[in-house]
Amino acid sequence: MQRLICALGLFAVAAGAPVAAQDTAAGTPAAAATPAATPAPEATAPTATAALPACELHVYPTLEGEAVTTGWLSGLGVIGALADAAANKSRNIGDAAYLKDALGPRMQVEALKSIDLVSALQLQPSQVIFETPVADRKISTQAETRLSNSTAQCYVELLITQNLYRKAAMYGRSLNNRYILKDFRTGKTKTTLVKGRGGNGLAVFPPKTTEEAPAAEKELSEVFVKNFLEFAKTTTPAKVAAR
Amino acid sequence: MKRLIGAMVALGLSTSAMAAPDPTKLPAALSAEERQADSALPAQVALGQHGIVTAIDAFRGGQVLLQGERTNSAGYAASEAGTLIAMAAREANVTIGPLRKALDGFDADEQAIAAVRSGLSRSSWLKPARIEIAREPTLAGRTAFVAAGPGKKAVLVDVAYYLSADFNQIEAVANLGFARDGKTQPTYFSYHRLTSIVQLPHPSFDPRANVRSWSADRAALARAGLAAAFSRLEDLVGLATEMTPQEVQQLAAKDIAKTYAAGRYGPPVARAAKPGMTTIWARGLVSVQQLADPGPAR
Repeated sequence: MQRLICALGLFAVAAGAPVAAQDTAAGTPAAAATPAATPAPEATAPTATAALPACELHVYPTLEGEAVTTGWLSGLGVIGALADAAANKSRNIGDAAYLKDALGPRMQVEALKSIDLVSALQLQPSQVIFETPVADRKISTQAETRLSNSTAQCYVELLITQNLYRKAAMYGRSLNNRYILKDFRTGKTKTTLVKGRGGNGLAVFPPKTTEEAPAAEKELSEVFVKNFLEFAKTTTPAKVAAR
Repeated sequence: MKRLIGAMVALGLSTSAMAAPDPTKLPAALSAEERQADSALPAQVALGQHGIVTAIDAFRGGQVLLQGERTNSAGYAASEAGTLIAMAAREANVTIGPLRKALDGFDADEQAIAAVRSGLSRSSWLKPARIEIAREPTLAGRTAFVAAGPGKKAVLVDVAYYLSADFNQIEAVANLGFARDGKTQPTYFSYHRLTSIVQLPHPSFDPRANVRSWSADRAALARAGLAAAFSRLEDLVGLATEMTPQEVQQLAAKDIAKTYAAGRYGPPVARAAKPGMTTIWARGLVSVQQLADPGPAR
């Protein structure tokens, strides 16, 4: 066991560590400005003979999946909150694991392909390119430069940075997501990170029985899209530029 | 949730602190005086794995490397973080299984060690008096090795290779350290993490699909990827020994232009430029290349 811990220790990688491969070639372009029908990211290489739009929207899903359940005890100060956390420990573990699985990068991409991302963000016709997630939050939430190798003049990045299931005694269940929009269309090599969020209630997720699982996962996907649209409504590049 | 995240980070850092230093706290390059004094130190190259392993996502804390089937998941289960990591570990070990099977008979361990040995021999000034290979490294063995060196100092190189948590890329890592004898374990006075990354041509968001791609045709892509990763690691070991403290200081400057590559973010390193590869400084040299496209996705 000591040897195992030693080996783990030697290569336990703190923040700043690698997880996801990423470059333009690894990106998976979807149909331009239209919802893509193909679910598998590796199967979405462009085959159309029509010229693709010059503009690009690069989308980075998140690897995260967190769950927080709080009860009435949370309203009773630190001791109450600690008691609450202890009481909900197993539930949080199960919910977080389920969320990471049910709304992992693949599902996020599929959900976002079901809507017209470009129109939602009020961008000009653009290729939508789904990238592999950025594991390191310090990079996804702080890097001001492009995360892909694309040199397109008309270039925007959308990052999903949080997947949080929350259950509160007073407010019920909800899915909360955070996003970052990076608009490089002004020609700058560095840009402002425009951060925002979306959150909506859940009725079925997490499922109580295996029979409920499909409905719960469908709901999760729908609420994920709803959250994005909520974010897009308040944080389009056009509105950001106008600020 | 913050507590959970904190626990995740703590787990990574506590195990890390036991045997490996924080690379950000130590110089990655030796001064001219140190080079002169330590040019003939003995070196130990340690590889603690048998066959390819995988990393797992430790949520906001980064990632933890699993030691393949030897991982004792129960060892983690004492905390919320541990439970989540143990669950991820079990799943990752199942996912990587087909690749480990397809690589049966391919001695990547030896290739990894040979790459580092060869890299050390490329140095213009470091000429280890002897190179010891440690296949079952222990803290006690390492401590004894350093204590037996001239001036109670030695070069310690830890090598590992693994699939990233999403199975998109093969990463070969060499931690090049210079250490002196400490009370209970070696005390590093220089430490440089070198990383050579080879990316899958058609990555998928589905880890199992990525493993299928690496494993197809008796793991043709994985074999090519490992060979490419080790070859570049050999370059990096040689390059690392030639870097100066001044060069490292310049690369670590806050206002330097940075680029993103394979999960890392840092300035390009001109000295290490090579066609078809991106080499950046992200707490150490990181080189990224993509395998040639073998054709339609499998």
